[in-house]
Amino acid sequence: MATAGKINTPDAEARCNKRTQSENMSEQTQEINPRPSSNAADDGEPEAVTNLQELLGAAGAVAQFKEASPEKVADLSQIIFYPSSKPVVAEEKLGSGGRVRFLEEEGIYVPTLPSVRWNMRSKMERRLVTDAIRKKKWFQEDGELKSCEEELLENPVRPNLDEENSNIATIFRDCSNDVERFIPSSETMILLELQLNSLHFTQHPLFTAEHTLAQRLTETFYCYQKKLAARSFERMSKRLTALRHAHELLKNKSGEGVEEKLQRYELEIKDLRTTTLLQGAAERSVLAAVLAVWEELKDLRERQGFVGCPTKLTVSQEVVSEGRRKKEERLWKDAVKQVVKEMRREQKPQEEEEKENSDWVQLAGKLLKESLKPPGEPEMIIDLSQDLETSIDSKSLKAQNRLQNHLHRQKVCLKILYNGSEVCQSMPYVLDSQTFSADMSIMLPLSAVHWPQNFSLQILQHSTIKKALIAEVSLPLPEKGCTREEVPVQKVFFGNETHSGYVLCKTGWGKDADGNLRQPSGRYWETAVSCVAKKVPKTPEELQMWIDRSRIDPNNPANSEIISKAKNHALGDLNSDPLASDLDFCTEGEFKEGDARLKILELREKGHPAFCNMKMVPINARELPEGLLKEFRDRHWQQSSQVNFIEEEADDSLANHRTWALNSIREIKEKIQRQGRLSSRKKTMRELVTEDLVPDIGTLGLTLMAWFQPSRPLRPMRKPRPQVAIQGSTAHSSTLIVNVVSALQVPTRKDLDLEPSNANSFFEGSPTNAAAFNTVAVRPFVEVSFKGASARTRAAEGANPTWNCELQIPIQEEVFDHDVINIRLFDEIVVDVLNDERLRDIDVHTRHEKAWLGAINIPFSAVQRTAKIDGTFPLNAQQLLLGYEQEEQSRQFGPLLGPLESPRGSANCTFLNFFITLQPPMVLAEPETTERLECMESSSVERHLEDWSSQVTALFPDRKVPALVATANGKTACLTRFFRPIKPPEVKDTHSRTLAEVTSRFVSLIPRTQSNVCLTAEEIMKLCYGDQMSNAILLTCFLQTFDLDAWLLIGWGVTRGASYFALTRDKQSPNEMAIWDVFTGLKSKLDDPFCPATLVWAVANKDNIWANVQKESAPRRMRFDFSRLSDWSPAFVPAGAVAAPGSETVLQPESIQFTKTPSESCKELVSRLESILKENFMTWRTNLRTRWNRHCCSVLRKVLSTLENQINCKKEAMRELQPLIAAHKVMN
Amino acid sequence: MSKDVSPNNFGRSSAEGASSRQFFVVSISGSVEAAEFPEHDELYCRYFVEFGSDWQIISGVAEGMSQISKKSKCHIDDRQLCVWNLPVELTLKSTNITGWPKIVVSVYGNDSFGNDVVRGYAWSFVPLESTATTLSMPAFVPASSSKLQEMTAWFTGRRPEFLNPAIVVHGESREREQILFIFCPPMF
Repeated sequence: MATAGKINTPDAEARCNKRTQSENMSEQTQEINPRPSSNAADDGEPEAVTNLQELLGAAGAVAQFKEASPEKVADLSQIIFYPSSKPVVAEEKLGSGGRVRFLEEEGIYVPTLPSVRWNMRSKMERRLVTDAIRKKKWFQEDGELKSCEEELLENPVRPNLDEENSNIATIFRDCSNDVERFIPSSETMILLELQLNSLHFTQHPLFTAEHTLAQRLTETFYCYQKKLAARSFERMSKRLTALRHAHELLKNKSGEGVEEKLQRYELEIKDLRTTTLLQGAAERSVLAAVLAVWEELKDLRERQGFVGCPTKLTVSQEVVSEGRRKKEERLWKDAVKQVVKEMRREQKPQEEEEKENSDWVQLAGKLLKESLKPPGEPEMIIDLSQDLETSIDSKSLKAQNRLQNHLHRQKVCLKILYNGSEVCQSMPYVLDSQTFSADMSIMLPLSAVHWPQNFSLQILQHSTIKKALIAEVSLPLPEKGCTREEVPVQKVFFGNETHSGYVLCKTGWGKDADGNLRQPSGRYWETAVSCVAKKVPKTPEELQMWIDRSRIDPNNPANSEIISKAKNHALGDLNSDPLASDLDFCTEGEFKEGDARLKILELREKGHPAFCNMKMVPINARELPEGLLKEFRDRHWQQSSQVNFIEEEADDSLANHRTWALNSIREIKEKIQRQGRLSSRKKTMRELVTEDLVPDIGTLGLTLMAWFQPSRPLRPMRKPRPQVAIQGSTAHSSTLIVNVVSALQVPTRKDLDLEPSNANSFFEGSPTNAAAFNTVAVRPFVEVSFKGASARTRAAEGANPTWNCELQIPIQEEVFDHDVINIRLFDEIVVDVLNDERLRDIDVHTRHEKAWLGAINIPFSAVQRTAKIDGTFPLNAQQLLLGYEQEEQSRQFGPLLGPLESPRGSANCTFLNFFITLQPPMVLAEPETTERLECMESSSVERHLEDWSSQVTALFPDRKVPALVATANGKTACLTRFFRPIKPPEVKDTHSRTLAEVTSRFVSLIPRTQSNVCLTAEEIMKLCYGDQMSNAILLTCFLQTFDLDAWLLIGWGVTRGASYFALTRDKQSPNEMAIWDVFTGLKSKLDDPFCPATLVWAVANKDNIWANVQKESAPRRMRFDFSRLSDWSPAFVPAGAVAAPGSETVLQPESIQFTKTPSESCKELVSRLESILKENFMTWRTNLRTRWNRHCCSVLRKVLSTLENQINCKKEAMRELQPLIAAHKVMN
Repeated sequence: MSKDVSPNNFGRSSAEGASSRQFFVVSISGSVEAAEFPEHDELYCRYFVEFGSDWQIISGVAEGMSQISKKSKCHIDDRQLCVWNLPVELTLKSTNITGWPKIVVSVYGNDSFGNDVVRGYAWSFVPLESTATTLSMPAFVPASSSKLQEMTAWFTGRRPEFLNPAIVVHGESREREQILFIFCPPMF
């Protein structure tokens, strides 16, 4: 270490710094790293020192220099090297023989070098150049210093991690799994090869007649060929001969059982002979068919004058030689003889009568002729070929070209799908116009990771704009170990309604470069089997059957699951899951036993009409209302026992008849509902999702136009927004708002007690007398009730009160269509019942009575549909309001109401002005679904009517025109079929009314139910029930017998909703038109402001249906000239393509048998009604018993019968009632 | 989307004996806690509970709407949740388990033009366990029926919506499911 220490004196070090870099470096190394080993091993030390001295030869020189005298300083320049900063010439760097190359110019990549100052660089180069031996290592060919290229990234790649923070968890992730999944090895890859040879169409919309025939010819020919190839006739006849031979042999024998055997043989011969003959006949008929089609085709070609497709049948006849002919004749005769013999044998036991021999021969000959070739007939050899020359004349070329053009427009392309995803799509092919086929010759190798599950081919029609899918067929997957070469070409058939055909193709597993078959591994074939097993039926019986049928191998382990399942099925459920059993709330047994609660739940789930709206089915069966299910079962049984309810005769009793009729109608309704339900279940996208429509050219044009229109900021237009259905679960909360404005002509009180006893003088006297007695004529108020909730206005005073009162009724429950808003007008009577006059100062004791004055019912559906009802409506009141009298309207409102002549107008009638709306508006829960029922009309009529009504609906979406209506037998029929003049029942006493009015009254008395079924007159009479539409039709039919033109008017009444009326026109005076209301039987003029029909949608009679296409739909503002096409759109145009169903198809009967109701049942009804009245009357007041006055009752009964007569009833009734009024205080 | 439901009792009111029990009571209490919609921010949600015809609410409300919530920011919470913590408290009585209550949540938010659009519908059965359960429900929206419509919807801000969100819990008409583009934010 001494040497080292000597070197490392500060002076030496300072001088050393002037040496080359490398030497300096090694020196530094020496200084920093004194080898520790040298301390430990003393033996190695001298060696180490010598080594160092050698290494640092230069250092030794320096040491000498240190010791040298100052005189030798002049030689310093020889020893000390000062590198200058002048750049070194490139040649010098490379040494002798080195040529400078310019790498960058030669196109070799030269990295950017780290920037070093030029003087530093040249100094370094100077130093290096001095070492002649080593300098080659230091310099590149272009004379630059060899150096590292510059770092590309300025920032460090790794994040600056805190060394101290070693808490970051590291997870070992094995990469092997992922590799296996994503980079499949070549062994797991599958290579599936598909070869598509050609595509042939056997049916195409562009087929000409010739093509169709040619196709038929091909089909029948192949059928014939198949029959020939099967040779079944030949085999059968051989068997027959053998059997006959055996029979002959047996005949000669004798012994026990021979007889039996013979009989059996005979039977067999008979059977076989008939089948053989049938087979032969079939073969011959197919041949005949082939020839017939060929004849037809030839005929067609001749007619059109050219040949369009190359299909050709070559028929060659082999003329039979004389010798063969004789042989054949002999054979024929033998055969006939044989057959005759057998037939006779078979015939004998049954029929005794002997036929002539010639008859038998004739019969047998006829039989044989059908199935055997008769002797002498030439042998037919037919062959089908596709090599007929198609003609090339101008006519055929024209047709060909046309077809070619069409085919060019409808190219065909194929798409290949592997496991549902598209693999490849072929280029579009043009079909050959002669054969309708396309040669493809596609070879498609397909390598896949996943095993094939489905491999299919889509055939697409490729027109210029779009591609339409013709058919999708699944391609056959190759068997295990099959290559494409081994597999025969397969025909894969496809087809839809318009196209059909086949593809010639084959598939096989491919081989890789090493020649290994690349098919799926063994597990695929197992799963292929289990795929089959998945289709196994669920129930054990079916499973067993399936196993028997498919004969699966019980020893195959792949099938063991199925077998064990089948074995264990007796033990328990087939697909039982131990976890799922927790969720079984009842056992199968409970279901079968007929637990009432479960039954109801099941029926409700099925949507049975009786239960589908049932809520809160009790938790225990015993809490169910008794007889609920029993009733259902009874009805069910009835229904199954009765095929047609209407045909069934009803019971005698009137009450029973009523219930029976109601049931029948309900059945019909349910039947139609059931038929319609399926269609209503499916919802369209529009019903599920709100979405803006794509702007088309029209709307875009309008939007563009809108920019150029002058802006009118003062006239804002409301953008119509679709009604938003109420969302969420509490959707039913809405408020019914009724604003009662005023009333007109309210009857005023008339105290009858104060009247003079003479009735005549009462009527002759001034009516104002009554008012004179009372200080207040009447204190009317209005009460509105809906579904149990009600609200009332305050009482106003006078005969023409004004309330302007807003009533609000919240709706909480679910609302049905048949719910009705009931508006009633009452008179509030305040009776002072204070007994003690002295207390009058401090006590008020009055009784408030309310006296009914009139009412009106408005169906809720009408409010819901129109959002508001506004106007003045007449109230229904009873004819005789005791204690009240109407002031004469002419005196008060003569000028206002005008001369009203309709019975209702002139009669004293109260009018109420109100406004009804819903807040917030409710959307109808479900729009009435159009039920698609079977139609009685021909399909063209049906389609025409549907088109027509959709056209009308498109013009006026509000107007619904039913062109097809449901009949009682569950089919739909054209509305016009229901009209025919029917003679109305004869009425003896018309009570000074016209016959038409009486008839209308008669119809209005027929009870109505709610149904959408149109019943014929006969059915109505039988059921004694009708619905609105049927009744209106019946009335129209009746009215047609009078001197009137009658129509059915389909429209809308404010108080009715959508409803039906009868419209008549007097034949004598065509301007007199009237609308008849089916509900009340009243007639009103068209210009009557209180006409029940407020909107007219359509009119129908036996010839036609006219839809209203006028802007106005209020009857008083419409023109009723049905011949004007601009006003009325008829369903059937006189010269149109579709005519109305003729008069012979009318469903209505010519006349109806009216059966007289037996008087006993009438009496029964009367007494029942009376007892109901009595009972209610007695229990009227809760705390007091109300007496039933029998005398009153008899008087009232008498009065009631006179009330039917409308005109004079008042006087008569009053006269009758007078004594009663005198004796009692009578209210209403 | 997550919803915490606890506890879920097959309650039997103490006043009634076991034999005379006419109905059972299910009380749901929990909250619509948070949603993870990676692409959207500033969302609010609306929930309602759907149940069958044998069920009746005896207390609580069946629907509710939340405040608009902003996503949690990166530096505080990496999960980027829209937190609502909208409480759900409801007691139902019923006689039959058919129509077991289902909770439907629809999430709305503003799009880039400031239109209020629907971001997702989600639903789940109210859990059958009577312990605290956290549900995560994947959400989806109906897609436009064509590309063009998608574009117009994007411009106008009127994207396809269900007429009635309750449709997502009903089976009917789901055969048209191909119209529904199902997009699920990752569940957690």
